[in-house]
Amino acid sequence: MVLDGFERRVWDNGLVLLSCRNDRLPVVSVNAFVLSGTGQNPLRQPGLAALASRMLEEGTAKYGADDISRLVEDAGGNLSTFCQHELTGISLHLRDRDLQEGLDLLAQMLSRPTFPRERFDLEREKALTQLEALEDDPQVVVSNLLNREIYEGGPLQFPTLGTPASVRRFRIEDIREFHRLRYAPTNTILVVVGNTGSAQVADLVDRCLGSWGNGHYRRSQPPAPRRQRAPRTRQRVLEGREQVHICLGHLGVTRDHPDFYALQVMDAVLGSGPGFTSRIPRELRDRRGLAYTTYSDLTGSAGRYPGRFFAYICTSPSNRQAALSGLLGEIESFIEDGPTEEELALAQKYLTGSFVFDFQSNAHVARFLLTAELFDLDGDYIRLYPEWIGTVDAEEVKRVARLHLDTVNFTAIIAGPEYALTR
Amino acid sequence: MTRFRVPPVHRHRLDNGLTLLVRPDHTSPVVTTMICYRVGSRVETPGLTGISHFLEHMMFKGTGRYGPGEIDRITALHGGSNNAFTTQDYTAYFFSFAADRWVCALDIEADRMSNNRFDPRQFELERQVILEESKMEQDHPWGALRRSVEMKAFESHPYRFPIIGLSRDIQALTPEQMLEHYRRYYVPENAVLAVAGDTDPEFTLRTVEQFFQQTASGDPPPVLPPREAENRGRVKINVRRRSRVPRMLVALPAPSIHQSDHDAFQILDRALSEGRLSRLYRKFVEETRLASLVHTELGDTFDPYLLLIRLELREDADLQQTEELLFQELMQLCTSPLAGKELTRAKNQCINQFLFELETTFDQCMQLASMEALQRPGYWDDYVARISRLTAEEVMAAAARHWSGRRWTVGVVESG
Repeated sequence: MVLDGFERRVWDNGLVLLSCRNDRLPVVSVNAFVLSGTGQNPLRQPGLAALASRMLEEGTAKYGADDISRLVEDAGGNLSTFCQHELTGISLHLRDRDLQEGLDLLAQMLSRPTFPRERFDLEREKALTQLEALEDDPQVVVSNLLNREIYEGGPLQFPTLGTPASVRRFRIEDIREFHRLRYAPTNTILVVVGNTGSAQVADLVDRCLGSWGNGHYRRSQPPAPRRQRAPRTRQRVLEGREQVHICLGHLGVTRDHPDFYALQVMDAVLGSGPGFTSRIPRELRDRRGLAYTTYSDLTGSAGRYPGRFFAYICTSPSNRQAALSGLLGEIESFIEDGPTEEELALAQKYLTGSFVFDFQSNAHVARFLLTAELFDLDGDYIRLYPEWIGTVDAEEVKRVARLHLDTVNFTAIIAGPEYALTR
Repeated sequence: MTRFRVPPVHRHRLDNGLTLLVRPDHTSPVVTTMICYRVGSRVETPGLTGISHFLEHMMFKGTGRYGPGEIDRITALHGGSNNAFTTQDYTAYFFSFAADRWVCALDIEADRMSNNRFDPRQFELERQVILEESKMEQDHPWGALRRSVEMKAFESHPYRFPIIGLSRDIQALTPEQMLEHYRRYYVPENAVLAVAGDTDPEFTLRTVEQFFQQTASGDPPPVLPPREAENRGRVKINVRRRSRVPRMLVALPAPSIHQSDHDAFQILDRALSEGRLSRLYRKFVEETRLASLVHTELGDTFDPYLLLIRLELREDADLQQTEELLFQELMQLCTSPLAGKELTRAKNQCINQFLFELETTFDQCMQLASMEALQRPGYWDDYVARISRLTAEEVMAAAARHWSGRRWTVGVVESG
């Protein structure tokens, strides 16, 4: 396993470095995760964290926007920034020989971005067009509509990029303020995986970020969302579309919930097992031919903030009622009956047997190390995981399904051509 | 590339004609297998479009030994994953398993190579699934536009048909037609099996022989010789579709994997749209701000196909101006060589992409099996050297050879 050379180091300023050596290929994956994402957006400023993360590429004290592009692209590297509910990330994939320059750049982006005004105007314009473009993707539309209901009242109700109105209102000062309050070593985890030694990485990080101060950093936690107490249905007309998109959902759990592993087994049995082995795709796709894509998932979105239960199907308008009742029916009967012994065994063998794929590439290992750090999964986790999954029994799966799935107080989102919605 | 050598590939040809490629990689205790049959939309004729893709679906619907759904069940039971996809030129099936249990993939592949069943009830159900897949594809923001552009880009080459097939053809296909298609193309001589991961080449060869030696050679599949590019002249189409932003998809002639210009086109592909220094990003996103997204896609195909350019445009973007600016950018590549730094950058991007793909056993199988299926064995052996040797003049000449006649297809979806 590639984790053999794993090392963890914490600096006095709170910065955490996780590093792992993998010397098979002359490449390295360098990642920074700042634990402030969409959840830290002020309620009136949806999209702020995402725009701030994009602006990291637009200039630093040492490098202009073009310098950053040249540094990465001339070396054939890949640089990306991203924003999720609970974190903002920078990922850099490089040749090992470019590690020093790469880490220096990453450190600059994190600690000394300049947020130039003229680049901000461009990024804001791009974000506005992308927000419009995303409205053309039905799967994005239903997902966003569901979030609006599930996370009502909090910052997670909005799309990651925000809303056209909020993005138009942003000023460069908002971005600078977000960075001042949220980007700090004590709120950052660096993960470096690839053909490099831990000592070398630590030395480079020490030079680049060892003296990064915590300045005005303020910890912030979004208000905890609450499960809805009444059913809701929301419909959206998608003119000229061939299919109707249906999703059913409600608030889920955090990754550290004690039921998490039993819920992973539940997911694999109900809607997110491999191929078409789990109930929803097996019944609705394989046995009834209602859809190409249908699935459900609860644990995949669980993080430091509660994720969501999400069951989805897209089908021809003539199948709308069959798909809706079929999806709901599968969830109801699962809550009622739980898994069969055969389904349970299959899910457990799948989850424990496929665990090894979490460690294939440098980026996979980096993601795993981040998860382990965020959720206090210690060195025994790899050994214990199969045991935790393997000891879940059918009664336990039934118990967590009853507790965490709700077929009464949930939200149904239905989007498609108008004639498919009016019934 | 002084310190690193591409890991070796062990190559065998079984007596029945099956080609086996093994790439040992002991980094992680996992193994991926991928079998490719040289059959895709390229061999399809009007009335039978989509039959190769439909067959790919039916390969999970029951064999002599495995009932419907059994292949997925066994995969899950062994903690693995599987899937399949169809291209213009080949159909691929793959499994990934932990290294101590991957051999079950060979058992399944050997069985369904010659014993697949086409139960009429399963066939009808799957037809509905594929029709839904087709509708889903059409509802994707780029789906309808891509289909329209591809159909206009060629006069008569089968590459003009969507891989998924035309809906009226999918509706009319019969199990008997599919059985004939299956028997014609699913024979060892028309297949390549790649295995990458934590396995020993000798053991792998012995095990593959054990599972596949019973598979009869069968009649060799029909040989369809390479066909020349036959793109139409300049064509413009306006696809009617509800859209919040205008989208432009431009299809330009591009060389096949067998033409030496294909390497130069990999450089052009990167120089056009990879990164913020790329030409189209600079022109359309940074300078004119007409677009928020530019993307190019170069296929690896048996016959000459297309370089596709996508532009997601601002609502008020002038489409005529956009097309004209794009034309100027492309013509510049035909008449002026890339600057030294630009060429080096594109080369580094190509080579690094190749290295990053060596990280997973799936990507290694993709590299090996796809090129063998396209009849370009050894493609990757000197890939780095070939890319490194290219000169700016060679890249320019390749662009001029394929683009100078402005034989491109422009498809637009307007907003509204």
